[in-house]
Amino acid sequence: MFNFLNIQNIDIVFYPSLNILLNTPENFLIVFILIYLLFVILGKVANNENFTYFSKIQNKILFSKKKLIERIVIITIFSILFLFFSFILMFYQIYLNKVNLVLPYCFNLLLYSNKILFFKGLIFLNGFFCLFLSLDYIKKYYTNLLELTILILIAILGSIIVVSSKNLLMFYLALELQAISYYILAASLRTADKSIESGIKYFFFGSLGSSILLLGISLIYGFIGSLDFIVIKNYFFFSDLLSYSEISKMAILGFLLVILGILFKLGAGPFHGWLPDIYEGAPIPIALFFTTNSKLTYIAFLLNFLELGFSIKTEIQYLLGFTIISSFLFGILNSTFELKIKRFLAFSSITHIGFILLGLYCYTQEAFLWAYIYVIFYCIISWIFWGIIMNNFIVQKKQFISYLYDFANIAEKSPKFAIILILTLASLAGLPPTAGFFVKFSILYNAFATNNFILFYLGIFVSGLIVFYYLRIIKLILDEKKHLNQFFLMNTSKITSAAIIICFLISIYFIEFTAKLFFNNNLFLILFNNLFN
Amino acid sequence: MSIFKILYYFFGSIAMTSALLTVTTPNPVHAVLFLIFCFLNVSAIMFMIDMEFIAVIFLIVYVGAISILFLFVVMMINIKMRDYIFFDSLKDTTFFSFLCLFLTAILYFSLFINDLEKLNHIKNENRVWFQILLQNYFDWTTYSSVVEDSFVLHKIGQVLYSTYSFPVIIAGMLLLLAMIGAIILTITPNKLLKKQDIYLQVSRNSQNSYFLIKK
Repeated sequence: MFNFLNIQNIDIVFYPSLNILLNTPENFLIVFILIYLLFVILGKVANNENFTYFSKIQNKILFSKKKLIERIVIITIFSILFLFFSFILMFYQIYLNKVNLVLPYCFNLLLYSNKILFFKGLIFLNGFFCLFLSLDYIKKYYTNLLELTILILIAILGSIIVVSSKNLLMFYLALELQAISYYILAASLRTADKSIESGIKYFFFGSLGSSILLLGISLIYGFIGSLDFIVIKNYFFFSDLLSYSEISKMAILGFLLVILGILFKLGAGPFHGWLPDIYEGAPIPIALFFTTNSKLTYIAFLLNFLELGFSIKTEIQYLLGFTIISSFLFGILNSTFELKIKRFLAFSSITHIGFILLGLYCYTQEAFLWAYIYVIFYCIISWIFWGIIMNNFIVQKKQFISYLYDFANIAEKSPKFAIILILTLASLAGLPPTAGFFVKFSILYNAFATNNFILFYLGIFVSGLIVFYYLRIIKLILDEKKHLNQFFLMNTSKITSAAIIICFLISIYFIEFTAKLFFNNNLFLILFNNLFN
Repeated sequence: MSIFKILYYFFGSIAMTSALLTVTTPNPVHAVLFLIFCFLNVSAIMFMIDMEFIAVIFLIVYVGAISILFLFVVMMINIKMRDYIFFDSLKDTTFFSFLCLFLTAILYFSLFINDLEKLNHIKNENRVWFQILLQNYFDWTTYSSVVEDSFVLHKIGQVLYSTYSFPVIIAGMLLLLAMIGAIILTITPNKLLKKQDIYLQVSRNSQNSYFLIKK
């Protein structure tokens, strides 16, 4: 007989009050996705053309023929509003945390603290801008695919849980939720062959990365005995502190393999081979979503995860240093000779990942925060850059901007875009008055302060080399004699150009923000204490 | 050697060899059959270490469903037998093998880089206290001591909807996502297809159902 009364002995789980539980963005998002799915299914049923007379009348009342095309736009606008609302909700939660003095509490394998709320808010904001910029593109190409925004929302749900997970099991499930929606999104433009190719490639390489990750997780479970972050942290910490027993090598190997799997998914270092192919094949707004969202989530998870292995710092630094050097090398070598713009952006993102990982390599909390500010900077810049690419249609070629020389002499035709483009390229290169300079400088400064001189000098050398291929594009934009007056760029719609301008204003504000953080150490300390303590 | 060890090595070696053969055989049908054989042996090992649930899941899900599905797909697709060449040229093979060697070397160097510093470390006296501390953190050891009188399924059932309730919800979302994805990627809207309109069928009455075609 089973002893059912024995249950009370097993596990006493701490459940916080119901109000907080309902406020959590995860539950909120799940409910929203399910309701939205119902709405989409209803829309699909109403879209059926074989309606008999009665339902035709019904159809006219509900969705007239003009509105049929714009249903996808309505759905995207509603999900954009939802994402913005949840971004505001994040601030409310930070406020709640301050007022009620709720310490970082956890339930159901999730962790809540100011830092994690900050990460989540950024992920929501990123989804908001990605959808906002790609409204025109969606209206053109995705009239039949109403599920597009639901897939994006599910990816955002997965990335939120990845950021806040406190247990490796929870982390893996959420990662798969995010990754599978990525695969479907990459293949979502079914009429194009390249899109399907990129989806299949992403599926293969993503599953390879997650298999490395699973090997690491199983080694950790075998040699430490739990998947919980606190247990892992205590295992490494106490065995180092008391030197009672050596930390088992297999546990360290598991830890390193988890980091390796995430580096694979980021596309850093020698694992970058799959990245440009997928960016080239995937539809443009979705490629934008891949770059920004994956960097935001994986770097945030690495920030949480690297804190656990503070006592095996040297081993982790060895692995990270190797990936930093190789990502600098491959990024520069490939992007100098690249002519296609999407592949160029993919390769240049590899060098940026190198700089972000340099911030993680220093292994101090300040450097971690600067690395995350670098990620935010990269996201803002890529909103603008990709936004301009996906909203400009070359009429003569019947194609979006796909080669670098399509930018030739934009300054004559549309000087507004030219100014925006030149400033974003300058900040990607890291020229002094822009935000890119401050961010890059502070990461290099942190590398110098922690006595990592080899990587410091390498970083300076690389940031000098990077300037070359960004300046080449600026030269193309301003004056290029070979392709004079060759192409005509179509005007963008008002909504998307407004979105690009908003992103540009944000980036200008961000320059001021980073400069303040850079020069005023007190302000940095205030931000640091609010997030990391 | 006990019988347990002999059986363990027996099943384990068979599983290893069949896993190797799945990768190396050129015939895809043989490869799937070896995969099934590998799963069977692994489930036998799982039975031996008292993990009945995972063993049964292996048998039902992997052997019963997924591998058979693989077999059907392989039989349906007409794959010509040929020698598969993974890399086209000698240059590529050397490059990738060196890369793999380099990666493993990096991993193992990073594991043993600390040993030189720790050669002189002295064992502390706090051994007992540390053991107690660790025991409190170990999830499964303490857990199995608490519920000894129930078997694996019972334990899983007790934990699944209390501690691990949120992962269950997320797994449900994963299944939903798989369904949506499969529908999106494969559906072809067919306009000639006649569909039922239940509302019309129900609202049909004697006055509505007959009408003149021509005057």
